[in-house]
Amino acid sequence: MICRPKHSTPYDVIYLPEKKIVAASFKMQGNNILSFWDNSDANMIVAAGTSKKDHNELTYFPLGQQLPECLAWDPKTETLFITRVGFGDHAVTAVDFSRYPELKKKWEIQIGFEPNGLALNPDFSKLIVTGIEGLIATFNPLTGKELGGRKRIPLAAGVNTIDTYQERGSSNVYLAMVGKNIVEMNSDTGAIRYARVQFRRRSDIGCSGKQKSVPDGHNVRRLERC
Amino acid sequence: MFDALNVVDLDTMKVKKRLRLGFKPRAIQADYKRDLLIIGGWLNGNITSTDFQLSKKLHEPLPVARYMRNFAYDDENGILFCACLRGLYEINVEMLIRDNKNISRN
Repeated sequence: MICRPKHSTPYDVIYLPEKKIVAASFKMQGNNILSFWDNSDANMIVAAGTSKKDHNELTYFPLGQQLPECLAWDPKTETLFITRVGFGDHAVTAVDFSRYPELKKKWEIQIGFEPNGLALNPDFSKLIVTGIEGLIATFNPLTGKELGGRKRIPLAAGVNTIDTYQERGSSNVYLAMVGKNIVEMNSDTGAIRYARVQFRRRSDIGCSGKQKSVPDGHNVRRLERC
Repeated sequence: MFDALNVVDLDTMKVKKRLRLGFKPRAIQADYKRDLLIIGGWLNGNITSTDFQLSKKLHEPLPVARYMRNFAYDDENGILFCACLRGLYEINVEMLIRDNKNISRN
């Protein structure tokens, strides 16, 4: 059994329903800053089949020095896209899952800004990479070639992107910004709207009570262990 | 301050509902088929589920693992995948709700 190295921790996870696989980006915990927790062997994609016959089969795909983070899936070409953050150099990598469990790198591009989000438009013709400092760049998912000019999220909407979310099949991509805003970006047109989301307390669903243990342990399973 | 779930109306882009959770959420997953909203606690590593109206909890908080960063979901089978500091976990949400029989879904 192959074991992932110590101080390798998952960042993003994605379910690929067409292949009944779950894939996760694992990165070294030192984040290119704490050298004692940095081991580039920890940077990898871990994939596991979820059907009963290959439930415990894990596939590891090493990715080198840059930290694998956000994931996006193109079911048409069976390609997984991964953003990768370096100490000054940043990349996007496309990995072919069509012959899973055999995985193969399709292309890799250096993008020149720190990515913090990844999305595809509904017909999978555009790969959108959002940057931590509000940059938006679009690439051809088949080749990695950049399409058109880069955009920047308006300063009024926020400066730093924390997280990106896209409902499958939807044109809209939502970005959580540092501060109080949520940005909506149309992945086909590039149109941007944003909402101010202030923090305050109003109601309670009562989940903060004393924690009880789960009656049975059989509904939680650790997928990978080392 | 950061223990709330905000519901944004996507037509108006205004916050239409907000509720206090009592923990710091990070990962979130919607299951439209089962009328489920699954919320992961970043620091406490618990899974909590509510209905879309945010009116009732569907099971007791399930401790999984701390620093719960992201979810993926198999909506066909009701299986949740959690990326946490210590690794990757699989949770059978249907079974979880069924096991918590003392909490009514109605």
